[in-house]
Amino acid sequence: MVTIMAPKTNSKSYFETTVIPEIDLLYRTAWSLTRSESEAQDLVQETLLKAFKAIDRFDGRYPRAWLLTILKNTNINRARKKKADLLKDPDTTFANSLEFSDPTTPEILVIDTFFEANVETAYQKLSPDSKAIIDLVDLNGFSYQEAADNLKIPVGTVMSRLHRARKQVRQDLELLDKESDQ
Amino acid sequence: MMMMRMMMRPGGMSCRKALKLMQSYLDGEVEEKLALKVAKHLNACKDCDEESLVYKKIKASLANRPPHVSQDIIDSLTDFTQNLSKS
Repeated sequence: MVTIMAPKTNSKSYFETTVIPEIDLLYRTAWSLTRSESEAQDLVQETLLKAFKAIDRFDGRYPRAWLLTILKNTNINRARKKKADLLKDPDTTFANSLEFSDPTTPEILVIDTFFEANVETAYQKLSPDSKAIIDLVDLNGFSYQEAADNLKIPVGTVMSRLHRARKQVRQDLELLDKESDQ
Repeated sequence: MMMMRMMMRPGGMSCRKALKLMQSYLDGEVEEKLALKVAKHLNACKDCDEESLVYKKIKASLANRPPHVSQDIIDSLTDFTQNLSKS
């Protein structure tokens, strides 16, 4: 059963209590989309500003999904604006135009924003040991042997821990997908 | 149905074996000859190929996580939110 809160009763404090628990996830998702600290910070600030202006229209259901939708749309608009600004700039180089010939379409960005956020949520639920293996292999590109040497554990343990961790992420993604479909 | 699927060997490998090797294969940790067999299976088996795409996407997303999140940034975004509420 979903409890629907009434945001209009005290919009400002409601905004704060709704948004603050999601800031970490919003920032991490924004970083995944921009791969830059300053751009991620700007993107989250713009998202928060838009959310604040729209809080009276928010029905109180699924605040995370609501905020991620704003983040996603803000990111698409920022990318479009950046592209338009570059095209207007007479000094735009061939390299810059190539950067924006990326086949990534806004439609793909829509999917990725939620996927990245769900993977982040699933990752945060993993044990410290599982996180450590994922950080070494997926984030830092270590081989199984390198990860084993780094953690001083057998290669077989690296493999089983890593596979189990990713399976857990996969199962959580299914659950999160089901939740968002409801 | 599941049993039948398990008994079939698209591309010369069972789905059970392909699924067991899937993550090591995607990590480039399977020796070449076996990797070719997995690739052949994925080419011939739609279900396993779809499963491999899911894992590829998960791996890519895990690789795309921020290496470190500064608490200062989270604090400053929290302050920003609180200031909006006070405005």
